[in-house]
Amino acid sequence: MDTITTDQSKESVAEVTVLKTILIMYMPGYAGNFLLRLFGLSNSLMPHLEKQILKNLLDSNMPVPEDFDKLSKYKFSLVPKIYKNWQDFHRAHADMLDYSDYRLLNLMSGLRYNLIFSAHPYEINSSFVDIDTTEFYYVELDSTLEQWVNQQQKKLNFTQRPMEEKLFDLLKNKYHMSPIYLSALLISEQNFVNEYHRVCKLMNIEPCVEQALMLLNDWKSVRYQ
Amino acid sequence: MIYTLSKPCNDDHTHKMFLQWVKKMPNEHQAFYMWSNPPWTVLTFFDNVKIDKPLVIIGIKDLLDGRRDSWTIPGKISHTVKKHPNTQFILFTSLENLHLELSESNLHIISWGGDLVNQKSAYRKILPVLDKNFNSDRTFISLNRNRRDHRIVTLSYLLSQGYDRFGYITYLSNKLDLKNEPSTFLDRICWEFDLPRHGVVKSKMINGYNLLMSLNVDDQDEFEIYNHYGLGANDNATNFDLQLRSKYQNSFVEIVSESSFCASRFNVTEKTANSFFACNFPIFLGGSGLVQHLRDIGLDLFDDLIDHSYDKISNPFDRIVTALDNNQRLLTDTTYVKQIWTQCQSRFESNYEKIRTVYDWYDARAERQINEVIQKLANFQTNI
Repeated sequence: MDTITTDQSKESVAEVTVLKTILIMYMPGYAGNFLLRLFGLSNSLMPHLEKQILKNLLDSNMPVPEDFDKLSKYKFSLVPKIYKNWQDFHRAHADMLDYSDYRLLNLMSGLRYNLIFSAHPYEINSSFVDIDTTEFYYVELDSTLEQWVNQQQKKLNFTQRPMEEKLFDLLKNKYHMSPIYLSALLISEQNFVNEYHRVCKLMNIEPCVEQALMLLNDWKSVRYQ
Repeated sequence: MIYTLSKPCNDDHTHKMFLQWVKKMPNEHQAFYMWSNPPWTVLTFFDNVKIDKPLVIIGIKDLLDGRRDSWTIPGKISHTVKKHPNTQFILFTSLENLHLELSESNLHIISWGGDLVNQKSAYRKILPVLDKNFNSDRTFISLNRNRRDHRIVTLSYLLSQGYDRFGYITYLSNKLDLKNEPSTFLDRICWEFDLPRHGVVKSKMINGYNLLMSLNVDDQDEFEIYNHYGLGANDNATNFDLQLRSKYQNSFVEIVSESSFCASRFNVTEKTANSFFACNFPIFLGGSGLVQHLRDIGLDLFDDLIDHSYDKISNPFDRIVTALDNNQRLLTDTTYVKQIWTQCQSRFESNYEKIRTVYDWYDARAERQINEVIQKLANFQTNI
């Protein structure tokens, strides 16, 4: 989070509080929920919260707890135990559409976070609001993972909406998005670490390699066997 | 500090202006900008905001209609302002007449213009609908997206009086939502129907309501229409050209069913602006005082041809009936309405020029109000 000071000789000096928002666009089945949590591990980024938890914090005028343990909350191995399916897991969490609640929570938390969201092309197209600074990324899929993605989409009932791929390409260009290479993250541990570092550097966030590897392995245990 | 909580997708004017205006304010302040949708977030903001500066500036886009439990947004604003008697508050609002509801001495209200100032860049490119179809068998148009009580009452009355035969009417129908019996519906809306003169009209209204539930109006409108443009939600400018322009070509009068109607505060939206881009004779079913507000902007309200006496009527039921019945000829006489439209073409063109630069009028008014408030605050400082 930054402040921009406006220097007006005859007017007041107004500090515009500028949050950075990192937005990752992904097609259904492209591991968008994993990548959101992976890069969101950084301490400078707002935790990704269940809707009810976000509401409870706001209702009780509580900031994000200082000791909020993202890694334990983000464990994908818990998903099948808690939620009926992956869609329910996805819908239970406050996302880009709830950005105003996250921004309010940030205000109550002393404006100590930047924001990170992942979203499908349709949601970005219809609901993305450009408030201060947004950095855009998209999940790039190469042929090595196509088969896995197709299998996952079928197995987990992920559906694409009409023209979604076209919209994906359109938005990628419109917002000059930077790629996150999914296959590089999944092919080997060394490649993962390299790609993770590369993207963290682009996002200007602190890497948490140890936690990132733990989250990767946890996610793989349920989604990438 | 200026912090933006939220803003509408189509807000390409007000947010920028707010950031500029706040810079003019005295140094020791906190400033917040937000959209009133969802209302829950705004109400929670007022519950939670920590006020630690002598001046708090809050800008809220759009209506203030939402509520949580027993709290309305204006009620919550009033409560917050009263709780901090030593703090000065400046509230920027999209609403006209909000000062009639909020009159705390440490609250200063500045109106930055309603939702008609959204999508400035797109609206400025819209061309006027001057190519009317003089073969059209309709006189008027009445667009009723989003179910609101005053729209249902208006439609019921139009149908009960047979006005619908002369007009093009749309209605975002969701009949499953309207399970109430007509009499129950009329009882549940908090309007005064108990005056003796209302008896006959109320029964007409119930007949019209029954017709509304059984007939197909011209267009079963759909919300999804916005998403089809691929340009984001509430893309009213694209909607004007892709959906409404052809309808406006076939109409000469518009019954504008605004978003606000009953409360003294009202939001002037793109619905009002559209009627001027459409070059139609307007009858406004918005807040009481809306017509006068548009006259103040400098728009020609065709007072020599349209009976706008309804504008001063506070009873919402009477306002609707008066607006329609006193302009019966405009709504039903196609030959007459085409003739006077031709005579008024240059006046429509003048209105078009005025409406596409309406931002300047609202900005200038906001600047004047800001300067008055700054002066007031300076006097206040001197006096303590």
